[in-house]
Amino acid sequence: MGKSLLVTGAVILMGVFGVGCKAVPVMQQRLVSKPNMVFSDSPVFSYQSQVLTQIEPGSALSGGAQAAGCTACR
Amino acid sequence: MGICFRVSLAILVIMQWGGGGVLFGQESSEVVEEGIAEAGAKGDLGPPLSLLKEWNFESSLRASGEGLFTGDFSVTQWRLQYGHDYERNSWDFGLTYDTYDIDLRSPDPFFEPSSSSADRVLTQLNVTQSLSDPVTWQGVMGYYEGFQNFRSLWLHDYYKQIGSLPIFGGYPDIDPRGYQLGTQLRWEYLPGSGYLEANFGYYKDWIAPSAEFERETLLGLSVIDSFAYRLASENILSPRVRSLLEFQLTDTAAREKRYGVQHSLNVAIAEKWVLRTQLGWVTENPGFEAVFGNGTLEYEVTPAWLLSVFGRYYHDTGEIQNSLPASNAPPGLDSFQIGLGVRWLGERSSIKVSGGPYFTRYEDADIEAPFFEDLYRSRDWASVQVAYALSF
Repeated sequence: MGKSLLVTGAVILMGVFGVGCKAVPVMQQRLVSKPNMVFSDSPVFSYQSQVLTQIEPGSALSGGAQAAGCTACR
Repeated sequence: MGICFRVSLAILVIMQWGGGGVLFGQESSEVVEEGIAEAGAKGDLGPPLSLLKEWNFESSLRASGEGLFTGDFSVTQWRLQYGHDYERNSWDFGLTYDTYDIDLRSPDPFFEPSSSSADRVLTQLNVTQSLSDPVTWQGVMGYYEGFQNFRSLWLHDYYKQIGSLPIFGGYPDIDPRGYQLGTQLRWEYLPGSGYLEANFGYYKDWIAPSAEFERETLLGLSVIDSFAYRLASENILSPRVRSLLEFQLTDTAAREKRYGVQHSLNVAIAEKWVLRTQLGWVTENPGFEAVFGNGTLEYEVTPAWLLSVFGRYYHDTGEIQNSLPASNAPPGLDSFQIGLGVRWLGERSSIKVSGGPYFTRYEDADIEAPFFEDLYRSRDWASVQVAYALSF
């Protein structure tokens, strides 16, 4: 129960501080627009490993049976 | 090999037709202009051809390779992706090729050590359409043939060998494959600063079922249906901070729902220094929980050259249900990764190379029949990534 409350509280805090409500003017977005500052699916700018998800079932947030670690389910 | 040839041929046809001769070095816009000039000279520039004047697209080509290597396992993944970006829509077609090379050993007295190799081919098509200025729709479809990972191959070969013994009831021939359908809506609710994304995905997988061998073989599920739901918010929090918060729910057949949350934060800590961090947490009853975090520090040596150092940690509680005498599920895992990377950015192309050691440490599985302990043995791996991107 304590653990659930802790996690729920952390998620709420992340939601409050992780979601913006006010736009940053475009003329102030020079640094956040750099190629290594954006979230890109380009392999050159991707920092995620697809092969590691074969070993770490919890890090594959999507992908059907593989994401569920269901390689040969019981 | 048959599907590889068919898919490769499809890619070549699409690149030649869609890229307007890209294989022969012509720029996409040059081919379009030549076509218009020729049609104009013939007096054929009617309404359909006049639309060509408005076609202005950018082509992109991406290629990458990744590998994990240790003494008895080698896993690689190769990707090729080609696409077009138009003013209000885009598409891209991708081909992924995975290879697995494994040595199998087990304390099971009926099992003979062996080696095995397999591969997987995955094709995926993404289409994006701007519905209005702030709203974008994306559709995804994909299909693969082959084992999803090296663990599936290991378990399949183990069951196949044990099942073939005269005293047991056999193990069926398996044709692993699957497909996915997905859709996404992205809403720019704060112009240039805030984006909301909602995703839905459906996955159908034909897998190697688990087995209990007696006079008749008892098989587990061989077809898995999964539904995935994702809600995400990307935001520019300040002139130096970009954030991505993601919530995901995965509903897989015969399992409890899996909940996940992941927060990524990119910070421009100085003019030439960028820090990228990520934290994630996943939970699924009855008792699976995973946490992970990683960080990358990148320095811009010159506008074209960037150096990075990264580290990663992952922990989960494992999926073994203690009430069972034997289980093919993994025990609890701790893994660590560190590495270095270098990136080169050109006017139209870019290259990335990174690598480093990767360590996996499994907990001792306190079960009666540890037939799969070699699969889940702690190992030291070498991890390598290379990637290339071209826009033209």
